[in-house]
Amino acid sequence: MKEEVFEGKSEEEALLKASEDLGVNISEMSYDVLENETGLFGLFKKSVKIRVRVADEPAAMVYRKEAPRAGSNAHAATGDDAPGDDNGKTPRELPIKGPDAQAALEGVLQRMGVKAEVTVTEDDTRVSLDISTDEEDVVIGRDGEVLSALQFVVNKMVNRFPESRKRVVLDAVGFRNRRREALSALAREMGAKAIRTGKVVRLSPMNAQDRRLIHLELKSHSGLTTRSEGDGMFRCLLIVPDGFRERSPGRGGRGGGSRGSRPRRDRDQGQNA
Amino acid sequence: MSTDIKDIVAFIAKALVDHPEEVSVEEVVGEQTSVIELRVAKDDMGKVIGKQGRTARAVRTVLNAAATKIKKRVVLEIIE
Repeated sequence: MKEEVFEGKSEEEALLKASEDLGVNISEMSYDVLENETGLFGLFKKSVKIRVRVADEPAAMVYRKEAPRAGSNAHAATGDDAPGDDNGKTPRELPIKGPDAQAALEGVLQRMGVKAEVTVTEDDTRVSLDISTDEEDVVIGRDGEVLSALQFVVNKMVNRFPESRKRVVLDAVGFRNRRREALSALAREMGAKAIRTGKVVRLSPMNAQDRRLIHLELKSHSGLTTRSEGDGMFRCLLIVPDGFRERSPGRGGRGGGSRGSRPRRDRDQGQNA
Repeated sequence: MSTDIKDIVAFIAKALVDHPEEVSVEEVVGEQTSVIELRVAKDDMGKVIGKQGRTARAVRTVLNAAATKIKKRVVLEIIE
């Protein structure tokens, strides 16, 4: 056990320093806050001191090619299934995840019958897998649906044990960039529309990453605010021009952006009558 | 390279569970639709289904993508 004190403007900053200095992931250390000084009115000179403890041999970011299976896995893999494993390819809890992640993704793609090449880049925090293929409609799917599913599955396959998790991010033939650009353009256009019309613009349901991109794109845009509404798969982003007076909450677009549900309801009523 | 729906499910499932030796996959072949029956150990059910069914949904999405290549519909059932 090793102990050291670090100081920073915030807890996070102190932790990051500790992580950098000690070469240990934040998730692998425990710490106490020693001092939490807030300056005048909480505005100036905030300083936080923390005492960090790490195990002597940190199962750490240090790259270890020949994975020390015996040590770190003993408690994770139950003795009986480790040796007789019939699925030799199964990614297991290695500190370096790149090869496992690549094997998992290639394994799935190959069984899907997709001809593809996967290149890996890995740093301390994440593994990036880039798929190059002619069959992008299969691998990416509508709005990146399949790519997201693959990413989710590969993450699950590779990160079975919480103590050595590492995020795996997938991309295929530049899709993420294209998507980002398309969403930024959409965001700007819809932002302009909200301001021009003075009405709330409601975008179609999107996943969290896509919404996030739009929030970020419009953050610096003056004259409007953004927020999301709805649950799960139906969550939509709303662009609200400044000065728009909201009436009943939950019906964000009432003032005019409500192209969503109302017309359909009217039609239904018409049919019933 | 050929599409093997059953094998996709087996490959993924075995990597997710604690008892890969108890994973079995059967295919009930229909004319247009195949039903893939995935069996796992009781305490591994949660792992293949995932929080809010997210893992199962992701696997289904992957299967459907693969199934378009062989012009079929695929239904995944998870059985204890």
